[in-house]
Amino acid sequence: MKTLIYLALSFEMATQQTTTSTRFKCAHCGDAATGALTDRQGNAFCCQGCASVHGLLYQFNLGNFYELSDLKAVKPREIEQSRYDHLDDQSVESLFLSYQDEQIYKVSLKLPQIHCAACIYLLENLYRFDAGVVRSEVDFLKKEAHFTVKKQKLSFKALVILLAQLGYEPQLHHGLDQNKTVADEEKALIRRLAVAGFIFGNIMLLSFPEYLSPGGVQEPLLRSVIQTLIILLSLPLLFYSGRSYFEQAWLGLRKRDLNINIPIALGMLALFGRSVFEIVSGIGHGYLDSLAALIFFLLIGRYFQQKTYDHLSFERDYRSFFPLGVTRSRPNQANEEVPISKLQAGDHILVRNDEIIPTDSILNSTSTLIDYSFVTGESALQEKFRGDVLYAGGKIAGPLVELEVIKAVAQGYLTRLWNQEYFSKGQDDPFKTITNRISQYFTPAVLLLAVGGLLFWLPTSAGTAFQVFAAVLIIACPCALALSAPFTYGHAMRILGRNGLFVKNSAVVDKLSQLKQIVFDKTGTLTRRDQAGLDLSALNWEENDQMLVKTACQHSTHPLSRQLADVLSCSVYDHTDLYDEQQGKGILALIQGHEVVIGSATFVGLNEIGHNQGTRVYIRIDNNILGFVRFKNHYRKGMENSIATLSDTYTLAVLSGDNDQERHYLQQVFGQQTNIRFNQSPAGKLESIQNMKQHDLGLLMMVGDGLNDAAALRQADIGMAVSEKSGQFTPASDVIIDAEQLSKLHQLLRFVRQTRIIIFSNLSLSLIYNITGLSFALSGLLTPVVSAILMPVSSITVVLNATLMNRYFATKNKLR
Amino acid sequence: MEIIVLLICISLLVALGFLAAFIWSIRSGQYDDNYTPGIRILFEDSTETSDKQPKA
Repeated sequence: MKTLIYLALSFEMATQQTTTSTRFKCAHCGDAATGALTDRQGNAFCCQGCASVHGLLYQFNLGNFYELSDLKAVKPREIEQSRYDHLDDQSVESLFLSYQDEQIYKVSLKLPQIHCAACIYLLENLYRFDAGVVRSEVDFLKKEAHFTVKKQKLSFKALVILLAQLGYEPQLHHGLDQNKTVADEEKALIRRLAVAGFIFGNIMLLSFPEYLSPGGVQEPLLRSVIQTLIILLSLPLLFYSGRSYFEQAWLGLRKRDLNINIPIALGMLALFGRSVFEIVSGIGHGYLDSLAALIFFLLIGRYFQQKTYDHLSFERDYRSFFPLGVTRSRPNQANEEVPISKLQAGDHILVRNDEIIPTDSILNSTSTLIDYSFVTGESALQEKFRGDVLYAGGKIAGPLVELEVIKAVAQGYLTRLWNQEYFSKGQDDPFKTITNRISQYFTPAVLLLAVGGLLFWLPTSAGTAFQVFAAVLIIACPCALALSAPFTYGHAMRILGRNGLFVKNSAVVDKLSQLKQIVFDKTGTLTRRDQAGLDLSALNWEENDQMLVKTACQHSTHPLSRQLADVLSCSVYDHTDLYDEQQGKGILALIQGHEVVIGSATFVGLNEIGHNQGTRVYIRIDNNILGFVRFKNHYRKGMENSIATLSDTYTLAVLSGDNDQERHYLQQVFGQQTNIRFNQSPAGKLESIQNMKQHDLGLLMMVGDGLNDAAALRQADIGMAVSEKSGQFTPASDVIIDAEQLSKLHQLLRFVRQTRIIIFSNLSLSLIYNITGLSFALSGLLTPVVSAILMPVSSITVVLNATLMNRYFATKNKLR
Repeated sequence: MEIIVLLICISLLVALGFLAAFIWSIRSGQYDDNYTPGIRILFEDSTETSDKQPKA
């Protein structure tokens, strides 16, 4: 740890007055650098953090990092070590550790910054930085790293700080780990599939002699051994691999829902019963090979349908947005870190820049700026003064503040919003998948036919009658039908996933294909959250002015000046003679003999002009007012075009938590008839969605991103969450879309609509097979050979058809 | 002809062995991450630091 600090100090700031406008590239992260900060080798850096990580890597001979890296290394953020103090708390620590004894502990951490081979290299060589690390292993796709660490040498808190200093700040939130149970289910499915495949192969091999030698196997010993083995093998097939089909069929019967699993289970039982009867009574050798093929193919379909995205979570509750612990200040005693669940009314807490207010409280410091965009969708910062009530969920933008807690976390505003009953949707969703809609007709039809065949043949011969009854159940077993939806949707999910649209499960693809209405959120969805744009067009300035302004802004911690400094690409002066920042007004600086004033209209000496044009910041240098910078919403590229195309097919609407200064623009993009509502609270959004659903205009999708949309996302038929970076927190939803791909939404949805064509072509294919098979069955001509051929052939054509048509439609819609 | 019966049984046992091995490999987590090892194998060990490496 000490080396980090030592290295940071050993870098010298270049001493000469840098006024050249030559552009440098940071040797660590590849961002633009001013050239003011260099090391002895002449590498330029954009910030002190990058410089120290760069130096560290060379000191520990990890220069290979830069050969592997795409020069987009993670930019380390400034870390206040005290913000991790709560990790020393035993109860907090044990939330994360997967194993610990006297000597070592093991922990798996989510590091969302992992993005390239160099990250793996760096993290797996972590033992070179600190001898306490015994082993570190990266799971790239899950963006996770597993550590084994010696307890005495490196505490859990120290490990987290080490990672954060290297730029890999772990995601420390107690979320529900849904992905784990999904992974366990998937493993169980693979085991069942492996057993089914094994048995399928062996039964096929054992059946070949019967099919290939004319008249069947004559040798009595060989014949009985083969038949015994086939029956023995089929037992685990039916009762282990195929068990879930019986369970689901039984569940469907109890709920009086004729789902697709009922004919499947009946078909399986008929195949098994008929075969055992034939073998035992010596009539023939049965259909057990068909049974094995059936179960094997069905399980493959189920596996294919189960696409999981390791780095995404579709289920999150509000707690995962909150910090784990917070600093509590006590009179006459040292500050302490407490888990937020232990906070009580009356406690005084300290909240730093960029931290989230954990519960409703009163401001004790003079003033602060709060970013509520995540809770309300309002993008402008709110200024609060001593005594104001601050609601949970806001983010502090500015220096450290002291708050007095007025409600324990469990009674706070956000918690109450979250605990309302509409969040418990999901269990009895009335939506029926296409397969189950068809099986409502299919299942009774099959049963009628089977009983009809039985009654028709009964007068002639009881033997034939029961044979026909079993044959109908066998051949009507809707294998191809049951496969067509999983393969079509499974394939579509993969194509959508490659294009940045991640769907929770295949039923959601089915819903998406029937979508009728789309409701958009504004802030963070239509606009970009990270760069509310700066409009510099009202400024009349030269390069020298820009340098002065950037130099002055660099000293400020105010988010607006930070943003302005980031946007200006010029270099800076090293020396500032005088600097004064007045909270809520602006900054005043003396640089190179010029007086630089940046701030509100009155601060620079203008009369206040009433306007509602977003936030304006005026700039004055000496006596010359250069103009103002306007902070405005920055719409995503390509969104207008996408919305224009979408409005041809869908009914659109906008619900924004922001004020209505953008109404004119939005109305222009969405069309005059579109319902656009502003100043919507989270509860207001929820009500609007409920109202729209009552009009019954078809399935409705809500597209949103923040906590303020969380309730609406759950209430809509489909909730689509926008994720700026993969791995970033998104509220619970059915679909997660990569923000970059939002402008392709019309293409993606067109593709999803076309999957219906694939589904229907597959359904007709499988029905043709079933009708062909039934004609064999009803005339009493079904033989094991016919069944053994028809079953796999029908399944394979359905699978091929789904694959090829999906590929075709994907290319047609210019998707990857 | 009896020998074929013996052979069938032996081949089935061998196949069962492989099935067991496969199930064991899933359980022991060998398929949990099938992406990272492919990258990891391409890293070169920088030799000059081998004396600094602690015994893991």
